[in-house]
Amino acid sequence: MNDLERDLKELFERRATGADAPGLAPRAVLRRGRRRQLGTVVVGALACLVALGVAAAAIGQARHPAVIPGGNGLPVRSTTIGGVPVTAPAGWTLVDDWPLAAILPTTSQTCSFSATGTAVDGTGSPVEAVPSATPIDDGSGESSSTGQACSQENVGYPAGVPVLQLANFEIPIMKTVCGLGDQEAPVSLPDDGVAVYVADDQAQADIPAMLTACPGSADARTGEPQVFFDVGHHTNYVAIGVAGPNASAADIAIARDYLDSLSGIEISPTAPASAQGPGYVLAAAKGGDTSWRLEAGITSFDRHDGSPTMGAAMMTTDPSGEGSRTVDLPTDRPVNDDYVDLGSAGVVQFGTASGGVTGINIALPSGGTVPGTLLRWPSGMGATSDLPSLSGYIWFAETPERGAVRPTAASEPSAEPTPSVDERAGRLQTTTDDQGRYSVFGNDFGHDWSFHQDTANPGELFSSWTVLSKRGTR
Amino acid sequence: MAADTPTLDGRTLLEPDGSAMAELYTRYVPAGIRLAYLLTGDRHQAEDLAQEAFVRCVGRFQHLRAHTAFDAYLRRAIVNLHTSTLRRRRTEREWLRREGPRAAAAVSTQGDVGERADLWEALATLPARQRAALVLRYYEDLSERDAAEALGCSLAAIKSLVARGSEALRAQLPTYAPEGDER
Repeated sequence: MNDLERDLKELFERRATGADAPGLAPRAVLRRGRRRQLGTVVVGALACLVALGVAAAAIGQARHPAVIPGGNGLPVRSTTIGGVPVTAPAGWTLVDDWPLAAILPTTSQTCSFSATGTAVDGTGSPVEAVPSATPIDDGSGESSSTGQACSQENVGYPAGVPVLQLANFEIPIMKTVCGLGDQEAPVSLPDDGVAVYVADDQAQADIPAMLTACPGSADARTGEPQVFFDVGHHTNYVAIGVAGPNASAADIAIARDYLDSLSGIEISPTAPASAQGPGYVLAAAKGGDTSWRLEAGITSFDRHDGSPTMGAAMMTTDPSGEGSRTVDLPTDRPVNDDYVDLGSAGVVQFGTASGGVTGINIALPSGGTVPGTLLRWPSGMGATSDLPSLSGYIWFAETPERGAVRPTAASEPSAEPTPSVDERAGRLQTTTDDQGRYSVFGNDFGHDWSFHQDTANPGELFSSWTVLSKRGTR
Repeated sequence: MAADTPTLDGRTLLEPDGSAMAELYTRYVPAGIRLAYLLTGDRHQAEDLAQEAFVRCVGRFQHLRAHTAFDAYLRRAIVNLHTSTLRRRRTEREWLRREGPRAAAAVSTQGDVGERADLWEALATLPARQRAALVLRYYEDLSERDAAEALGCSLAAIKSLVARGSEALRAQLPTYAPEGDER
């Protein structure tokens, strides 16, 4: 110990001795100590209560998640599709097929021509000389100055153009229980399946042909087909019920009741959404003058190859007409969102969420939060081979004002990203029939086309082509 | 501070008559006031500091049965309160640093004690943590590890605080300058 340390020690001892304080505890200090003890006890008890409350809330949320399972977990939904009123019972699938009216081809044009070509191998080297060919004269009198011969015919849909389908099973997207003529065969009706198919019958008024096109409709267990019209009787609609052999009486009664409700009605049709495809109606309500329905389905088609993009669509109807807003699947963040303003009735916020999201809360600017409802994607959306796997959710929340979307327990998006346009562009499909003739199919700017190898002139590589024209928006 | 092991006859601090708390005060707070005085240099401030530390400690240890560690908790509470109080009063500390020994003399309520008055005044100019480190080491006789524990710092930090505090005192008081250092 050096001098400084020794002197410090002495100094501290001397000074401390001189600072001796009375040994009795002041009453005020003891009171403060007492209050402090009680405060500690109260704070501890409150902390325990808060912890218990949080735990109970967590358990309650786990028991009653905000996620509504797909399929039969859906609630009752009342809406109008294309002007046709419908109420889907809880657990039933309601498909809005009306957008098909804008995209189904109505005419088919076939043209013939001749051309020469040289077959090449994989490296581009000629492998076989092909003799020249001359333009074909098929005698139809429809040949053009370019040497093409074209003919046009209507594309028929025996069961009409579908408006909606109501079923007790999940109908794959883009498919119907009555088929789309030559374009698409009817879906297989489950043994216990029941469905009601409502269509614009394109003025065919051929009920027997429609019944033939709709498997399960022949025995009329669901009641007679119903025909109804728009207000001016410009368009006629047909509703047909179908049922599998083991369908329950209760489900058949639901279909029959709906068919009966359509008897003799006159509707005010609305134009189909022109840029999107069919969708499953998962929720519907009315706020103020605006009716809305949330659909999970095809939100757009690729301009080049027509491949569909899946997502959420919010369809609205108000006195000024119909509108729609769409949200694609999230690819680089947990949630995508949009909203519709219902005026004084508030706001409906909706969107898509990745599989890692377990809940969504809307934080309102005025304070407070509104929990969103998460719904699983209908399994029927994955039925088309081109569609990505849908592991996440579609969601919505009815709020008094637009708030910030706050996903909970979010993780990296697990949904498969939608293939980009560039990845899909340029795909051509080829087929070979049983006689070895080639056909090439494609789609450009919304039109399907195909080339077929000519059978009469084997030297000509491709001698006819067909374009399916889009049906215009009515 | 006393290092004996109080028993308080098995009574807890929640005794309705408050006798256990009063006894705890009698046993430990006077030593706490002395420590606080060495830290602050002011008698009244030292009493306030020790009493506040006592209130905080008894509030936290309402079911204290083994009182062996109470003095250590009280010591640490006093030191922490002192340093945090001074942290809040940065302006006051800056003023003390500027005024130096004159300020220290002004806050002292005791008269000069022998020839060590200059050392006491020099102590008043040290930063709070350096002064606390010196008090804990040379008044409380704590080991470096215990002093570090009481001050809430690492072993290296307490060594540094003591060394820098001593160096600052030597710089102010030529008496303690090492041989050959004629500063």
